[in-house]
Amino acid sequence: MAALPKPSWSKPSSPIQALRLPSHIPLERPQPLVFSGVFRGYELTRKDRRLSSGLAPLDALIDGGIPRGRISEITGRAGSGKTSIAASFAAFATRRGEVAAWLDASGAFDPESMAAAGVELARMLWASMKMKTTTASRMARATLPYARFAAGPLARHQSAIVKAAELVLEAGGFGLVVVDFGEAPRALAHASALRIARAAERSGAAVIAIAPWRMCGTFAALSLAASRTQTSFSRLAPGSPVMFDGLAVDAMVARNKLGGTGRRVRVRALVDPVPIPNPSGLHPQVRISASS
Amino acid sequence: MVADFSIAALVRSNPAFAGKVLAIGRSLAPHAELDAVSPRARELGIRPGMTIAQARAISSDLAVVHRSPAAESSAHSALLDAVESVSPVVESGAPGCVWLDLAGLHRIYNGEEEITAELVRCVRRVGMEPAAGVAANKELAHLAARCGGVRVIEAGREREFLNWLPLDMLGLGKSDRGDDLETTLARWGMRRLGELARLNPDAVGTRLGRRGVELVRLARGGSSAPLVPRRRAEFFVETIELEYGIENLEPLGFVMRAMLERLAERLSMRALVAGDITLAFGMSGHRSFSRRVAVAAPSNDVRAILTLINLSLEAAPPEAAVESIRIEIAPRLPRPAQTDMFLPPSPAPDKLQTTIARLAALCGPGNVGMLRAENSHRPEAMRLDPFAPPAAPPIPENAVAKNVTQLVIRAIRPAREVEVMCSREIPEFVRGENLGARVISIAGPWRRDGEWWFGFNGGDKCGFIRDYYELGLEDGGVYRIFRDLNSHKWFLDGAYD
Repeated sequence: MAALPKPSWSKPSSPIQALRLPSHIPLERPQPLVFSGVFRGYELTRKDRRLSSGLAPLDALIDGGIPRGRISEITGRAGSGKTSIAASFAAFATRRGEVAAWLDASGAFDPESMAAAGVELARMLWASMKMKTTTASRMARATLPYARFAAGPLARHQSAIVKAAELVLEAGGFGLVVVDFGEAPRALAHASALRIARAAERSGAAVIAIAPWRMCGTFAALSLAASRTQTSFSRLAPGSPVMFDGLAVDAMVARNKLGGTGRRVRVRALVDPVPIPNPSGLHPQVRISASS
Repeated sequence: MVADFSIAALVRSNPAFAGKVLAIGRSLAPHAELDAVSPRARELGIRPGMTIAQARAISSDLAVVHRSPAAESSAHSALLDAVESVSPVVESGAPGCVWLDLAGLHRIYNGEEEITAELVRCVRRVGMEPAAGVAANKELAHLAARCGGVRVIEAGREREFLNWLPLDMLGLGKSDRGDDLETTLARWGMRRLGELARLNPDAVGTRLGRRGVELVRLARGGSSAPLVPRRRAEFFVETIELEYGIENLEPLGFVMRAMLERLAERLSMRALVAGDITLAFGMSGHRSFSRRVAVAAPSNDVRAILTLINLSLEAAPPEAAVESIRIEIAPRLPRPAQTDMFLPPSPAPDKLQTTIARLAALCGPGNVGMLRAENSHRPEAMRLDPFAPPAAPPIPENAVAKNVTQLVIRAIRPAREVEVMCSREIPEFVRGENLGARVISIAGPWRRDGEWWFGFNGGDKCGFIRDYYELGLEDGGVYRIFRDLNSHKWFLDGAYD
């Protein structure tokens, strides 16, 4: 039986050559694949993809502002201060030079108080769905072929406001779109919320939905629940007329896809606001009542 | 030029005729002669001058229709628009024929071939198949176009082209003496233009008059008429005559959509957008109907324009069946805008205009725009302006964050009448639609009166005088309520939110 030849690698006389890369070749790190239209999570948490309210306590609560390209809800019953909070976002966006839209289901937009809140009305496209019932039904027949199956004028307004939101978002270039569903909206269909969310993602605009209760369900990235904690009436001196000062509003993070929930902050919404000095630079009004 | 223009215009206004065996008859009786036939009918051997009965014997599928002057007028306007998108100097000729001056276009296009290709492309966009001829003068270019397709007669080679051209292409007609020119020239043995060019013009003029001299000049490549440019169109018009009356708005909208699409195509070729629209309907019983539809945001979005028209017609529909439709559009220049790299993005002007037009169609024209408070003492006085956002200002570097915000009011328009129970003129309980609560806190009254300076209006005193209150109610809301001192009624004006 012939002996098998020894393999060459087992020869002790042939040492293994060390493989050394020349120093001038740069080491390449593997790059992550980039797909168009696919978001990476960390992009949403970048500060520059958020829209600030210009209110220090509120911005501290929601990590710098509401996310752009997503739906944020501000909920609360009548008189809770939700519209004032939305107006502060609109004021910041328009003062920054961005174009915003306010889609108004109930015709509640008051230009005088909005201008006083700092909203630059020249950059604010306003569209109201409030119209006479005959006009509404005619419009619905003319533009929304499926609206006739809905229950009534409320549903038609809702369909119209969803359609209007889509139109504005598809136009592109808007920094903020506020959808004011009014004080007694019907529940929004999942498909409608999904359509708005998709359109917001494509356009990159921040979308704020104002309603007494949550409307967009799982498609909202952030939900702030506003509640009035204090109403302030005062008089400057005994015997002088009573003045309405404003409201103290508690804003609570009811839902947050990008952070914790349950935190709350108190914001003052005043008829004639005077900045309160805050020399410490901190936000003493922020109090954490629950952790995420 | 467009060959068989009357047929081409009909096919353009009714695309269902495309590719059909079609002819235009002087009447629809069997003995009536055909004036024009479609290319498909020509392929089958049907010729103008045949009677309808003869043509039907060749093809039973033959459809005979009346000539439509409205369709021809619209098609000719569309042809002019298409050509004007290439050259600014355009002369309108016979229906289906236009001339344009190519001088200066060589800076934009590389040679005549590219210009003619662009011309053909533009005319196809408005729904017609053109033939084009490029030559040193109008008559020569017309002859080149009549040969079909695209033909460029280079400078110095005119005689070469004309020598070959048969005389019957010219449609000679009659001489000054009333003789048939084609017969006379045939008797002389003339078959082609080249043969005519060799004759002495004076001798021809002696025999055939001025028409003969013009023919010789044409045969030698000369021109008798300069190009006279037309004035720019102020309105874009499409007209259609229907074979039957339309009584419902839905089919009417269907017809108008096609017309608006054609108009939008013409406007976009001229880099214009649609402004206000004037509708004119011819109705049964020789009645007419006209309506002006204001377009708040000029745009070429057909869907939005059609919705605006539908809304206007639904509000006050025509009283009889519509038999002809004329849509006239006042063109507008699109809003130019220069964007800045370092400023926040804003909507593109054309997209913004289209979006506003669609929103206006969705919500009503009076419900979209830029809402401003009117310079008035009435809180509800407001003004709706067209939305045109100004250029963005530089972004402030250090915007100071605030810690209080302005309280905003949710307006109730029009103010809702409520019932307020008072004790010694102090509100104690408020009751109204979706509202009923005891008053907890009161601020006011704050009196507002104004407009009394307008005096009297038809016997009624102008002006208002109101006492405003801010009432904190037991339900938690703070409302702005006023008492009208003229009517002594209470109204809910808004809720602080």
